[in-house]
Amino acid sequence: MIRIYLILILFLLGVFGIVLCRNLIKKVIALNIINSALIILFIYLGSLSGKDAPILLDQTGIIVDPVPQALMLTAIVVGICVTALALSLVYKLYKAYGTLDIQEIEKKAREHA
Amino acid sequence: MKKTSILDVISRKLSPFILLFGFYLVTYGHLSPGGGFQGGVVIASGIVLLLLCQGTERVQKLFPLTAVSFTEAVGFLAFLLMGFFGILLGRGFLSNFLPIGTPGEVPSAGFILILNIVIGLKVGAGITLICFYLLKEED
Amino acid sequence: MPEGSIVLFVIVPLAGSFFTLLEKIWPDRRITKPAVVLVFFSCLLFLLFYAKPIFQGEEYRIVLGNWGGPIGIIQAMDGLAWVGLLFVYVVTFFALIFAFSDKTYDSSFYFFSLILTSGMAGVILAADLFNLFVCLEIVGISAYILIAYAKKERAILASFKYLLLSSLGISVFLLGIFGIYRNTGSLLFSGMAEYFSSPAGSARETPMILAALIAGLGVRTAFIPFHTWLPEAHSQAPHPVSALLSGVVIKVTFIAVWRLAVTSGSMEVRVFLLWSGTITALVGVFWALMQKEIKVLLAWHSVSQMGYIIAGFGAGTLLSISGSLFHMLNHALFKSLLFLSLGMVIILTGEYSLKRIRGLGRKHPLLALVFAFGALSIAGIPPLNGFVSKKLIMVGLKEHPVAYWSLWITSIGTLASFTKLSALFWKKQEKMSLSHLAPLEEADLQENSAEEVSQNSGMEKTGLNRVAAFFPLVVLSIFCLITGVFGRQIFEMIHVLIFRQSPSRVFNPWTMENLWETIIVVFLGVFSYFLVTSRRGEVFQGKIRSLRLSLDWTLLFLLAGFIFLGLTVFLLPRS
Repeated sequence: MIRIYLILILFLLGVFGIVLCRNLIKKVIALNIINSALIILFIYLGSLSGKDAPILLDQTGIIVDPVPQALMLTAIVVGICVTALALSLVYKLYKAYGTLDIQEIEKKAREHA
Repeated sequence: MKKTSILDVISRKLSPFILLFGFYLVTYGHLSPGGGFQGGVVIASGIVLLLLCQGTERVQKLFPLTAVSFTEAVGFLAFLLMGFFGILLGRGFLSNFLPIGTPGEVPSAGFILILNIVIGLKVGAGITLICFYLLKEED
Repeated sequence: MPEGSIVLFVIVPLAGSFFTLLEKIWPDRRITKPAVVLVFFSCLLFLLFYAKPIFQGEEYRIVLGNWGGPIGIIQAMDGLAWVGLLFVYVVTFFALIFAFSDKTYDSSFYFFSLILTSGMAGVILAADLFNLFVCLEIVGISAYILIAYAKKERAILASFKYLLLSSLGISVFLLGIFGIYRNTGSLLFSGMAEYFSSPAGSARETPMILAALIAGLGVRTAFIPFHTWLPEAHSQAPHPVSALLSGVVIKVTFIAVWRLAVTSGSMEVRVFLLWSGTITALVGVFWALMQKEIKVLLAWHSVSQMGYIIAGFGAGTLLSISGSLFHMLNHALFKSLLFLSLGMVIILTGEYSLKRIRGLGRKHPLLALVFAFGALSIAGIPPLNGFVSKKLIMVGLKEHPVAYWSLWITSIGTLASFTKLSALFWKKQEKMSLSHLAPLEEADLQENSAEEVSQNSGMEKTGLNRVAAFFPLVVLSIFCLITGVFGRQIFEMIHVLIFRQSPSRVFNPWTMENLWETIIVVFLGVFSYFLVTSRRGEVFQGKIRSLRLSLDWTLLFLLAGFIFLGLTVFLLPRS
């Protein structure tokens, strides 16, 4: 049960990071933390059914559930693609506005319009 | 990025080991934790370490941009080809058609080894390209 | 047709995208545009092949790669999916033909659009949760890239905001998948249906799981309180992309919500959707009335019309559900028509704001005509298509008087704000430089571009192909007219497709009673228009417009929405 609470704390850290941080790169890192928290949650669920790695060298062995691991590989890949795209957007925003602070960027965007 | 001697030396000494570790993860993916995507990302991080510390021009001599793009494209096509072999032999897409050897050795578990290598190269090349374009100085 | 070939709906656009990439290797051969046209023709042809069996009630499933079982990848096509694929392909095709007219869209634009199309087909046909997740992310990533395609700074900021909020939403969706997997060990929709109807499915956590799934998808569909990203993202995107986003992308996610709600069979989801849809419709039209930039106004209307669709689905009666799907089809047609015609206005005049464009009706009568078709459709004037679908939804909502009257007020507001928008065309020009409004030919366009237009529109003008730009506008307005005139027949077809039986009562929209209602709505709408554009009204508008949310407040609003939803679900008494 303590593990679920720790994962929840990690998730909440990410959420607070997205909302409270003013730096755009910190927001992207917080998004990554949220993704990581979810991935750990899934894998933790899978690990409840056994202890060994799901590589059956001999036909016996109590293995972890490999399904969440496969699902989470997909989620990790998707998360990396979104992070790469977010970082290139942040880079373009930096070149356009000269700052990484979200409030200043919005102020400049509003004046520009 | 301002080059100091620490960064220069460490990056040049460390990145071959990172690349070696990445290839180990790729090749032993079916026997221990690891696999195509994980190993590919480690390979990319080895090259990105060089990119950050040495600058893009010097790294281009070792990993030319055209070769990296070519690897990425060929990797994807090779993966599709492996999948279609399964269809050619009458079973579904991506079904295992190579012999499953003795468990525990490297060339076992059918064609997962080949898939791992292909994916590892593709992912490594892909992420290197992304970081390359982000780090390149605009002329 | 062999059963497995429904996967072609996803594969053919992907193959087409491969061909658009070939243009990068051989830049002289014009491969992209014929490839795009070929892809859409063949997809629409496949759809026609499937028309007859689907109308007779058959369903198609394919288990990809023989990996069946409780965690397989399954795609299924039924009547709902047929209609969804129809409007996705039609609207995307015409939006891309509009993009043909502007040479600034190179082959990578079509590449991403084709990947977006195949992702959308994947979402519509998905029959298991993980397939849905992957295709949703494909749609999302292509949408972020396409919004940022214009390379204007505000577009990149809008794309970034959409990315952050949408990723948060998908994380909550993943939480829902976690709950489902933990309790059933299966990820298929059929496994979900069994779980929800079994006694274990009435435990405390089932409503939370369902709420997480629906809220996660709700961020992409933009109902209240998850709508905050939509006005910026849809208004800053390039014009064909705005048409695509408002026309099809938000609906495709709603089709996924539809399937989830039907699979779970839960009444509370429908009640939630009914209320959320009503509030969305009202809030959307209120904020739309206050805007002065034309694309932002249209984007708020997208929010409001999605509110109609969601409320129609939530009401649960046969009429209103069919009306909801019919309105999805109609909204795809007329909203893309409106966005594309306003895109033409922006290209021709270079201005974004309502106050600075006047008197276009005299100079561009064809543009005024197609815009009139779109505006009359969305306002619900017979014989165009908005009238039939809105009447269907409202008749189906008769048992919920609050929702019924709210949607009435929304109709009035929609009419008022489109009267305000059409002032572009009929108000006399005030003292402005005439060079904006001179009749334009291609040579003139290249000359004018350097000084006025390039600043505001952000794309270099290299010549505008007017045939390619006007052709989709004309065809879409003809479709609006046809679906309106044959509204009753189309309603019957949609009823057969969803419920596999003909409607028990004949629904005739062309009654005197409906006509009188429409006339009352028109009067009240024009009256509200005069109210809103009076002196006091303008001051009020300015005040509301200045309440724009920054990114941090947007995120807080979204989180408040999640928490509110979670708490309500948690604290509701179990029935």
